[in-house]
Amino acid sequence: MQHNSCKMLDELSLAGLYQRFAPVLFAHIYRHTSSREDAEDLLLEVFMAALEFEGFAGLGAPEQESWLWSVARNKTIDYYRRHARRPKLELDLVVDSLYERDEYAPEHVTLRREEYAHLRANIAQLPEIQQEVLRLRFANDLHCSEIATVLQKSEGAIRMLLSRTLKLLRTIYTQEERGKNDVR
Amino acid sequence: MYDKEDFFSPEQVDEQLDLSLLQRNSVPRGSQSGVADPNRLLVDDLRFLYSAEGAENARSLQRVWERIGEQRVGKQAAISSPTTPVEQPSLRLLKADRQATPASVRQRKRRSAPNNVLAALAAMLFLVITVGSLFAIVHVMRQSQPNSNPAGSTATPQIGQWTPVAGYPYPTPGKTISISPASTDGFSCLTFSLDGKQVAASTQGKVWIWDTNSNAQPYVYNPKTGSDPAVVAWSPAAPLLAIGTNPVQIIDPSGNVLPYHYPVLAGDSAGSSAARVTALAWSLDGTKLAVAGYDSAIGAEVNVWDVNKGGNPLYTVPGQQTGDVITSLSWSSDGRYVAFANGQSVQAWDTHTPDGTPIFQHPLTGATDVAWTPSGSNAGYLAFVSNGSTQVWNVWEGVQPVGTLVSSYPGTPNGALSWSPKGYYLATASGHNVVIYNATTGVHLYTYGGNTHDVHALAWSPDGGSIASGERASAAANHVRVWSA
Repeated sequence: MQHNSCKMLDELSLAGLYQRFAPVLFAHIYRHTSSREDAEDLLLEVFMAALEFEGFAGLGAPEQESWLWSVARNKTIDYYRRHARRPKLELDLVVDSLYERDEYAPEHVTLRREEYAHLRANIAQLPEIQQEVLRLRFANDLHCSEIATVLQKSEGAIRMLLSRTLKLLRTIYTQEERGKNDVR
Repeated sequence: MYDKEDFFSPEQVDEQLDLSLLQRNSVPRGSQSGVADPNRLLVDDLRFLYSAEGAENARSLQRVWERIGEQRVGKQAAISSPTTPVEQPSLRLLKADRQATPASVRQRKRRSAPNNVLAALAAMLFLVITVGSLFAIVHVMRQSQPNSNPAGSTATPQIGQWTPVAGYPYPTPGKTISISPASTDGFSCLTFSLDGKQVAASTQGKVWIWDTNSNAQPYVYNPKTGSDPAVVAWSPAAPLLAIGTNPVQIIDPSGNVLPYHYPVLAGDSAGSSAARVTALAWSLDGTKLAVAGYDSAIGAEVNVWDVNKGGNPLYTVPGQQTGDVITSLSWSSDGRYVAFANGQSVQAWDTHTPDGTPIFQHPLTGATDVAWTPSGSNAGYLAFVSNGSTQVWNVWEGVQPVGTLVSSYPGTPNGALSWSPKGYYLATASGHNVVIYNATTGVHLYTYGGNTHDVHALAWSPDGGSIASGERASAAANHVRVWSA
């Protein structure tokens, strides 16, 4: 009788695991890769590694989470090594081009809607870390605790940062409203 | 209410943004008072700015999930039959193309396997031309034979096959619009928002709300009080969502709970904090809410409330305290009659006659949805599943109860059903499939086979253009699929 050494997660556990961790792992991986397709490949590798790791199903939930993060970080590092010689724009150099990774960048949308131009201009002037937090919150739909894991900061720091960013951007609208009232 | 200056405080920023998600597409940007809320405007605009990228992220996650499934299948096939080669890459490529793969991905895959792609494109082109020609021939033949599909025919189209019918307004049924994330509990209740842009479902003890035009992760609403909701219902007249906790909660687009009390089993003097809500239904004008509750010690009861008052119910269906669990409720389009199904019978009651008797009663052999046609000339038509068939009865005409069988569709319906908005068509679930009938003639129009588990919840969108079908299977990854009607 053939021995099946690959003790796979059952479909139920896998679906729950994917639903819970895939968004935040993808955000982390995509942040450190140069293309969406590479990020998808790496995310696939992470979950396939979990499926093929014999002891994974027997781990507790926190250990499973740590294991997934560990594999994701290692694969991201491997990716860096493999692409070391490839010309690549570093994240810290892309303050003005943060949204230019693909055709779905917000300014493409913004150009069609002039009323958003002011907001977009204000976002572009924010420090990179604040732009990144906004992106992770609104494009990746992550909560502060997850953003903190991706950015390797404390949850409190992220909450403070997000709060400060939103309050700053809100002034655009309060000023506009004030202007309208003055006209009336 | 919140203080606008305190909005986005570090302690509450996550929760406040989550609640703001409920406002998506539900109410216009300008407030009714004429003074726009800057918090609302900012969240709306940020959401818009990032929406395209968010949708692309969701598609990435969906693509990876599908590839995981394919690779699992490939590995299991390799284990069970190690000498059989598995052609997974080709399958993946074709699937990815169907999922609107971004240009960058397509370019990379072209570079890696140009011959395969050219061959696949040639094959697809040939297929499109062949199928198109066949459709053209069939269309011409049908034009020349107008009586080839007579009314009343119960001939069963194959899954995915479309039986064109004059007047049917939706020409391309079965196209996937979105797929929800997996739920291990399955879906027993689905409801579209008034504008049709969002779907809400109860699953895993919480309420999931998501956009129908994206595969983004759902917003999960976790009621802070009351029992876990098993049912939810969006008002057909306002952006209000009723949640089947005990007591029932109605939330507005800001996530605020309306300040009215809707206690379950309100007709019982002792009340019941242990009762669970088993069915909900709004009247079509959105002014009344019918709630079915059940407590094993008391039984079942249906209460009707004025949505804007709560408190004492306007009406309680008499004599139901010893009945079985009520699994479905429905209002007649004029907001006068309420029908329910409890596994043993379907009953329709006149809420204008407090101590009356049911105007209609029919025995059942199991759980079923019951649904009154939402509008149109056949206002008395009531649909439910009984004795292995989906049946439409004319329950009343004018002011007179009649109780005549209009049409019956055989098959293996499992009880989930939904009317099209104008009441012309009826969708019913049968195993993994969803079948659409002409409600008057019984002509079988279309069978949707996109679900992978048994379908136990159905909802037709308010504009009639799409249908949501929810799966429920134990120990499985259940999904809701939204597809063109």
